[in-house]
Amino acid sequence: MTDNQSPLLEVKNLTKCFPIGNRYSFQRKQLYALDDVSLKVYKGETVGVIGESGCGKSTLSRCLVSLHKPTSGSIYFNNKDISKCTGKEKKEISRKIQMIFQDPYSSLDPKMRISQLVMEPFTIHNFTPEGQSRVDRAIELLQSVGLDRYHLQRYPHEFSGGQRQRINIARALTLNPEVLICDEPVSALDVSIQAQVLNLLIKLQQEFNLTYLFISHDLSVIRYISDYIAVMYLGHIVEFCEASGIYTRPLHPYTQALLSSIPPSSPFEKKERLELKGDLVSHIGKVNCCPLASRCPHCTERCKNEKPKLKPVDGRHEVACFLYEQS
Amino acid sequence: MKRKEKISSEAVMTSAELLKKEQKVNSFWKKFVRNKSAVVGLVIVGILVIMALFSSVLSPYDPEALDLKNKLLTPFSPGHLFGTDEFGRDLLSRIIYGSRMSILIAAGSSVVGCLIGMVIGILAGYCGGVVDSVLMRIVDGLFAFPSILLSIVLVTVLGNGALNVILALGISAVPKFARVVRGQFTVLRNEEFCNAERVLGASHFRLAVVHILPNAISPIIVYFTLNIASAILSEAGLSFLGLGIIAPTPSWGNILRAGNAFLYNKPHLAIIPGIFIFLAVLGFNLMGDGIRDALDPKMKQ
Amino acid sequence: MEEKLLEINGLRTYFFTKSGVAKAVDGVSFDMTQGETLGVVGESGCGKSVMSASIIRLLASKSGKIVDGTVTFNGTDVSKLSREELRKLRGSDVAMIFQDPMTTLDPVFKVSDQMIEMLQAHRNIDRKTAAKECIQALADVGIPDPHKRFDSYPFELSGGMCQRVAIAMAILARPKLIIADEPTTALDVTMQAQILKLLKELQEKYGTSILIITHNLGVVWQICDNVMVMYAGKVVEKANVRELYSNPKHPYTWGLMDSMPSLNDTPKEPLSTIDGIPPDLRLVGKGCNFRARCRYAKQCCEDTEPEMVEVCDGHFVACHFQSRTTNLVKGEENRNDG
Repeated sequence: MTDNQSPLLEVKNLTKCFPIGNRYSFQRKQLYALDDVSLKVYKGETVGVIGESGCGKSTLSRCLVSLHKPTSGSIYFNNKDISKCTGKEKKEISRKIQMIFQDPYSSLDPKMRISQLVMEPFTIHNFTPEGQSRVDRAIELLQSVGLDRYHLQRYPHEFSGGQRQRINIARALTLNPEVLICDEPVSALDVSIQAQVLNLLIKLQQEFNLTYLFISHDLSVIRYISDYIAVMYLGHIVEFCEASGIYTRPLHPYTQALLSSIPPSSPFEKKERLELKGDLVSHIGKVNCCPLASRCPHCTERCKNEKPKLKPVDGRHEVACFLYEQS
Repeated sequence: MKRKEKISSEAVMTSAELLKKEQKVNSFWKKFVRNKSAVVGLVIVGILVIMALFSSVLSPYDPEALDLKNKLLTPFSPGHLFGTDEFGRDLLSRIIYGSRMSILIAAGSSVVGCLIGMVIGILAGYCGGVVDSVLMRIVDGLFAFPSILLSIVLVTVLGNGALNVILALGISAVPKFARVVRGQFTVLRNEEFCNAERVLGASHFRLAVVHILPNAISPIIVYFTLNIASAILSEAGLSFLGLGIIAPTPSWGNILRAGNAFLYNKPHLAIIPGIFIFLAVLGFNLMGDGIRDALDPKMKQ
Repeated sequence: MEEKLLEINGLRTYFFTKSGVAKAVDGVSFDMTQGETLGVVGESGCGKSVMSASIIRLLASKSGKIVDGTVTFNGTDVSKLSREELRKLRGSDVAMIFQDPMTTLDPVFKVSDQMIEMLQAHRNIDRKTAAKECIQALADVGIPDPHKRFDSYPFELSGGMCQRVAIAMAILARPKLIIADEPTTALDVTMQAQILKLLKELQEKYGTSILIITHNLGVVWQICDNVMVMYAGKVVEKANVRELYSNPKHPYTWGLMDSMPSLNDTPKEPLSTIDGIPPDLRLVGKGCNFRARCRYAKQCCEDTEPEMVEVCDGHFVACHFQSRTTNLVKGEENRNDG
């Protein structure tokens, strides 16, 4: 993770707009789901993305696996611009970036058996694992996620949420990916099951040398699994820093507010809350102020007229706030 | 508290037993059979299909053999259960042979409508956007004609005969099938599992045919059975107007039309084919509803 | 001794399905005093929502039946109430707040219509006074610009705002008990913190009792006085929150508390988990329901159902190895011969 190494996955000035309103009207408003987002992920590390619903974290993940086409900006994988690749090259790259979805109940085709689901990537990419039959590989993968060969002939609805998430993970792993995008993989699961899946993800990361981009709204989960954390607010990354640093030294007012809203970890803990007034503001149209300006207790005149850029304060700790600009 | 005793005495099942029991209870067939009206529908449809398949064995006379000595016999006459028509042809035999024609046309036109409708619906629903808009406007155009009027126009252009009637009724059923399929596809293509397949690199064709279509098939099946019922009715209507199957080949519609002339003195000539049309429509409708309920996962017990 | 507001005794709610009887609530007993906040924690499908719905006899499914047990609210037996009396009870003395605020409110009516209608259903009051009270209630729950919000449709409000409206509707009739079924699960953390704070404030203001159902122990630590842990239709442990936190007794409670990643955990160290998955509610009944996932389980757990025993004042546990005299220590080999 040294600086001279180039990042495995790099997002540069990524912007994604969704047109809203009537399809046939001439002046359609744009909703900025992602606004000038830049992010670097190095091999073998886990970058956690945290933010409230509607902050664009899911849009980011979907752009990375080409489910959304970015409006502008680029995504580099191993120094290759994904959006410029076509045909075979694109297929090769997309094989290396796989995704685990939030809802384990809807992300498996209900009409297919587990064997078909796990072996499908082989058919799609038309390859057979070396020195192994497809079925053997499928069984091996199922076993590595804690399922067994007798599960092969079952249908998704016969499994619980946690088991289905394991199947999803096994499917993603069939293609030997380098990057795994985890879009809230545990938020639909119960606490006891959530811990099982988190443990599994960590085990697999060590086993297969995977790089994770882990998206969640749960701070304790993010802190537990990540090496670095990116805090998102209204389509912007407002703070990026080492996982431990975000709790010891949160800089951005939004990060501070987020931290103070986590429920206490014991009934004896009484927290001082930094409350943000009001609701999320809408992000329709281009914003030319700090996205937090309307809710921030430290808001100044400058915040209302200019958008702060993400600037390093200390090593890889970056923050987008004017409060830290002078130092 | 009789119920409580029953519960406590019931041995606790193992999970394997439960899974088995659940599969049994929720199997399509069990759910279908539990529904009484669906069973009635199935029985009616079954009888009609047997009638159509084994017409030559079941019918006592040649349906087209004239016997002018015994014309216009009332029902329950010796040798003629349903009586005879104005040319002395046995009505029972004509009804039995007529079922063959009616069901063939109804099923055939449903197949034609379903296939064309599916292609349009899949294209519109899967592609979305401009393709969807253009295709759906065309379908809306077809919708604008009442389907019976559309089939009358088509038969007039194409000419009489079983094949043309099938084509005409099939085409007039296309818009409804296209709508059903398109609706399913527009919903399903945004399902999370489709996104999961896209991330894995599945092609459009694979996504549409291997993944979405099997998930969309149950409403199509239901609609297919319901459409057979309405096609039977439409065929009868066309034949009644003299545009469908032409005498002497019997179909329920043209038997009814022939009977129409004797409505005052020999009403059975019109009533009996009418009853059969009614029964067929009822049977297919009940069966279709039953299939829908049984396929609906929300109707789990 | 304080006056009991709600007393539940041996409540059993079963769902009679074709593939078996699901014992969603199987012998739950507890009581609440005026002004108390009781938290019910458990995983999904442990029967906590069914239990809360059973209190006011609001079971959505036809196959669900309350087969046994008594619910006494404010001195009256709820099961003996007529339909009309029940309706009165639901709106005025007991209010409910549900998980998804967007679906609680009818999307085709304005907030104003829904609130006024609710108020008029329970009190003989004219529209103008009703509107005044409603706007006051909206202001009470911290909705900025209540006049404007009062006149909007639910879809024009955000999730947090809708939940505030739902709470405002709940407090309109000054209920003695609010049953909140996962009131913050659908909300973001910052909004969750605000809503919980609001509930606490309202409670202090009106002295309402709150029964809060959640799967998040953090929420319990934050606002509850007492807590009840449910597993597979049964209460396994109940105690004061501080007591439960510092001295949890049931193996399931241990597992639940440990499997939540906390900010103090070492990152990437394996979390301790509860192996396996919760049992199907159609399969439970004999012995301890947790035995299949419990590392301390012995033969007796298979054979007999553990009784609820008081291990120390106000702390009840249903485990064969926990009582005043015997003690199972977490992490140690189970030496008790049950």
